[in-house]
Amino acid sequence: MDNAALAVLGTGISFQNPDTALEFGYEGCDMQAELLPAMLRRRTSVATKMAFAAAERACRSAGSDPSGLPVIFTSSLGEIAVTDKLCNDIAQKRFPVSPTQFHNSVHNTASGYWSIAVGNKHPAMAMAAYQDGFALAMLEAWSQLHTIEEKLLLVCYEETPPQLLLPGNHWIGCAAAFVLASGEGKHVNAARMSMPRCEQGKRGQQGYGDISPALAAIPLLQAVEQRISGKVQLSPAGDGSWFSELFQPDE
Amino acid sequence: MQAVFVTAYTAVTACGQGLKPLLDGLLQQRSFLMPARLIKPDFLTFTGEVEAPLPEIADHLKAYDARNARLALAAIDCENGVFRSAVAKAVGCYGAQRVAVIIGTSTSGIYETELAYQAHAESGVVPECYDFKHQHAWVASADFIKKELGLGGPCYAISTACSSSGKAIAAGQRLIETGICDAVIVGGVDSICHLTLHGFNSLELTSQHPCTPLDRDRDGISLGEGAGLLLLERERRDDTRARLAGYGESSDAYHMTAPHPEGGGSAQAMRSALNMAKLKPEAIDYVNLHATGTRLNDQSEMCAMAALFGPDTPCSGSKGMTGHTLGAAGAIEAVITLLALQYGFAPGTCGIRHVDQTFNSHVLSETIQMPDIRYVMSNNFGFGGNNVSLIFAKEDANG
Repeated sequence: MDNAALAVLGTGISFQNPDTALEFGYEGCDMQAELLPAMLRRRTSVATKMAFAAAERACRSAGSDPSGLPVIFTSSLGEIAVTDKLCNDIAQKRFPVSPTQFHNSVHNTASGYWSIAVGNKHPAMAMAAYQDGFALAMLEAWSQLHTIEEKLLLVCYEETPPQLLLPGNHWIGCAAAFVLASGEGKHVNAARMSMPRCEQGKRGQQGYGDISPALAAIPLLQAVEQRISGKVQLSPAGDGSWFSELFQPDE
Repeated sequence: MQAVFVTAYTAVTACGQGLKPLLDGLLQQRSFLMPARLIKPDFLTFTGEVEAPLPEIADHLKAYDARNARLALAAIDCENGVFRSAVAKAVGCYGAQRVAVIIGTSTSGIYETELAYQAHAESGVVPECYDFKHQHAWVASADFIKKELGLGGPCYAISTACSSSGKAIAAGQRLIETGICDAVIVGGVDSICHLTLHGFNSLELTSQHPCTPLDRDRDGISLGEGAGLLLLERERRDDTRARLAGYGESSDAYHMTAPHPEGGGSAQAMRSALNMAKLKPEAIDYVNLHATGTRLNDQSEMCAMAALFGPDTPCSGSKGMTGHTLGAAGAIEAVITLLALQYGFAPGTCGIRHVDQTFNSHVLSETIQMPDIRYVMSNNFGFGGNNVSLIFAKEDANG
């Protein structure tokens, strides 16, 4: 097995709609987030709430203090509902635009609020790669954990997009989170994953990642939870899909 | 940290398309801020807009046609396409699959989305040429650059507001150090748009004059637009004159839009960059500050500067010349520090009249010659308390 593999120390998931959570077998994995202060709960988006809920579940399952983990947040569309609303306000000339909505429209809204809410002064990354966002965030995690960091929190989230922007798109609102670590010989009880690789020309199977970019995390999440080894797809079916190899602790 | 080499760089700013107009602007301390033209809001504000006609997007990439993509294309092709040639050389050397793209942007192609919403409000129909995925999605500009240059490596966008493209440069170094690729195009692009013009105005952070960062009478920002691109490579070339020597990233964990009053987070980013580069503060010859021109931002950053560097390290801000280019600022200001290294000078602070006397730092009002310049730092801080600091080092002709 690859010695440089990343250890998966904890996982978490949340859904915009509790019924959808049930359908996917994650009962109770709604977007209630204890770490989101009540004042923020009222004025943050579904995207940010889901990201918080998945992130705090992953930290809890890893037994990690959220204030001690650098973060990578990834989302195709980020604060797309807020952006949609602001673009509507602008088109209708409803000025001035809301200052709160404006700063809540930046792509790093969720990671910014997270760092403030949990008192985290470590670096915070907010990235996007459309439907490959989860795979490339894993690659970014890989590069951070082999250079400057020992442990980090990765959060992948997506809310259902407004129809004017993406007609016919019905991505499911969902967030998934992982606490990952580097270090050979450490974390002996954790599953490990190899460096994400894009297999050029190889079309991956149609799957969760095609339903919603954040659901691209589900195969890895399930393999970790069910202690299954083998190749895991990290992105939707495409001309070059992303994969990683998962190893269980006894391998 | 493994040093990575900056083998080519380019920028398109309000000064013009390419390095020459930017260099001239820095040496002459000329402001390119004028009353907003591309979009005319119902309040007075100055902007740094890219004036000259922007290049057309090739037919096979028309889906990507957006102001951001055109700014990026202008950066690739300006000054006889020197940047494009350098990328072609890297592709020849390592193979297209080994060249990655990481682009920072704050609002991506939202300018096109605003036009589409406006058309929808007026006619009930979204224009046929509007394509969210290829124009506005945060990775659209990165994707466009990848396809335009025929690259095959990993490609993603970083969007942490005004620190976006500074962080893209740091992320590029990591991809090379870990062997994921051998070369990376890193940088940033952002255009003027309604959202940021109106948003910053609503936050009461916009000046009614050309912004005057670090000035005693500063009263807010002026927005700008542009693109900055750097080619980072594992191997140096004969004409390589700079390398990335270190970077530092941090979070304030304080407030969504206001900086930490004592600059705790920005000091941490600068300290980490110095540690990674194994340098003492006194080794830094010049610091390009984030210096947006708001009361609090500049005060916070200068607090951190004084604490870390003391009163002697020359520093200045560039946004009085270019405007605040948001997600592109990190890359454009990295390019400014690279020009300073290459041409042996430290730029003054465009637009400044009276340096704020509460700062205990060596703020440059005028551009000065600095033939022995070796190490430069560039700072960028964004919403969410997201901070990055980069250090570039001069590479001598003999390596």
